[in-house]
Amino acid sequence: MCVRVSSWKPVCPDCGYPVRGLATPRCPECGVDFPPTHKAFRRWAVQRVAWDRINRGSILASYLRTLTVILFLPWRAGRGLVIPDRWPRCIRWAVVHIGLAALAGALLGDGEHTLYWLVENISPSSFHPPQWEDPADASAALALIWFGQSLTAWAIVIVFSVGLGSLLSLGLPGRHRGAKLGGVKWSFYLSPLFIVMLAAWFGYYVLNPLQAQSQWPFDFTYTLPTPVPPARLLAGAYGVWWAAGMAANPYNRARTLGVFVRFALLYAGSWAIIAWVLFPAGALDSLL
Amino acid sequence: MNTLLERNCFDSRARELRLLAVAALVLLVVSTVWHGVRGAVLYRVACSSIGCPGRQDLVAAVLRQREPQFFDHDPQFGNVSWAKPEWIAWSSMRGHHLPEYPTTPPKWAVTVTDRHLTVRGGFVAARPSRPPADRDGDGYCEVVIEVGLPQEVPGLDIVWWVVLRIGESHNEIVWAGLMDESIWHSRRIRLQPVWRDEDGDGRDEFVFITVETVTTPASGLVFKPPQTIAVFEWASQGGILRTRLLPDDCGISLWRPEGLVPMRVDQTADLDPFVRELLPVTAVP
Repeated sequence: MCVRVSSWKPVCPDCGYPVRGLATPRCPECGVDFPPTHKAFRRWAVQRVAWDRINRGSILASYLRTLTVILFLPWRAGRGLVIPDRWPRCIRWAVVHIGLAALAGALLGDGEHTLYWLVENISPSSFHPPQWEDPADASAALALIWFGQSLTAWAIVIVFSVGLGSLLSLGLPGRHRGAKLGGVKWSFYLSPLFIVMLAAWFGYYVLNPLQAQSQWPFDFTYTLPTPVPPARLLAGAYGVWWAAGMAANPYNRARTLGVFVRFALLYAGSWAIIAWVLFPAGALDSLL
Repeated sequence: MNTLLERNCFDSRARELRLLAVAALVLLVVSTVWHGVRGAVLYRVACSSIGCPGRQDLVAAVLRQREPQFFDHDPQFGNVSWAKPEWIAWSSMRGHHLPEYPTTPPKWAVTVTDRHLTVRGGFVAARPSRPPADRDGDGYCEVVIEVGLPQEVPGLDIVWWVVLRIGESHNEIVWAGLMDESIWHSRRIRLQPVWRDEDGDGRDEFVFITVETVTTPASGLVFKPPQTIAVFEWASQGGILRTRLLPDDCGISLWRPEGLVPMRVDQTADLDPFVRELLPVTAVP
């Protein structure tokens, strides 16, 4: 007779202290109260990601540790964000990263003209023919309007991507409530991915050998074909990471590769239907 | 064990399906609203995007939607120029039946629109030029057009410049000049027409300036400060440009309009042969 024994060892979510057989709902090591001990919620006993702990230690170190695990071990990060609590911290994390990502998108995407405008107005290039008609001639108000439009477009795309992950997690029927809320938390914590992907996309153009033929760094979008529009690239990457974290949620009935694929397809399909059928942007894509 | 989380770990299936139905309904309603207002949003954004690099597609899409009779061509062969702060856009190109190796230059059917993307007129020429703008304050746009030699007359270093006023039904030639560029090219200088307020009266004059580059050890290739060679000023609002400064040795010979009034030109007429007949090559000094 073969008995399957789980290798999972429950630990305190905050400090990682083993808690098997503990009688009190409090960690004897760090003194932090445990989440609900109802048997339906017994799967909380995995260690939180560094940013989600009460005792984070160094802010910078815990931020970098959290970012690293989200980027390189999303399944572990998804598991570490399973406890649906400490929402203010989670929301602050998401708001700051979404804001920064929208800013980066507005400056590096369509908003490259903003960088150009700033550079040309702060330190004008000497190699301009006289009376050259140049975007840098635009007034500050006009440059600000263009930048604001790009920023708004990027913010909408990023908030939509994060919101879609949250709504899918909440709306998928037949899932444990802990899994639903944990999925929302994971969707929020995944927001730094946009900044990293934007940096990678920009780096691809700057470091591309073909780049030598263009006028770095401001002319690249006109000289090189864009293989994947950045908004779709970002949403695609977000969907893959999101699916990895969702599939690893301990409240899931199964945590297999098949579950990951189903989550990824669900996200991609929903994104495509909403973005292309229900809310087609059309030529407004130029703002991204 | 009194929190919502603790009371029940699974929602009822009926409640979940109800929520899904509500979410789908909300999405459909918002989507319908978006389909209704998208055109207006697109138009507003396009109007404010005139002159923004990278948004030509956006402006062109709105132009095609609003004025299909002018902008129904393949977008691959059209463009919207960078506009100056006067907020006037212009577009686009005729000649989308170009062979792979064309033997003659394509013709540009330029349609001028104002900053509200309303068509104000147009002209046909071989070379697109700079964005038009109302230079004399009469409510109509003036545009500078360069006319080159036909291909069957090679070897001459000659170019025609025309200032065209774009009207709603017809255009007017308000200035035309023939320039022998060989005089300047031999000195590694190029003459360029620009609009510039020379006398500070708030109205732009039509000015020819020098464009010359020099190599310096510190900055490499730089442009020398331009020198004013010729100046033409407005005789009156809606009138022609008259000469204020024109040295004899600058290589520019002028068209003299009869009665000092602008010459009417049909908007569909090809400007290139028209201007070349107006000021034949024999007029070179």
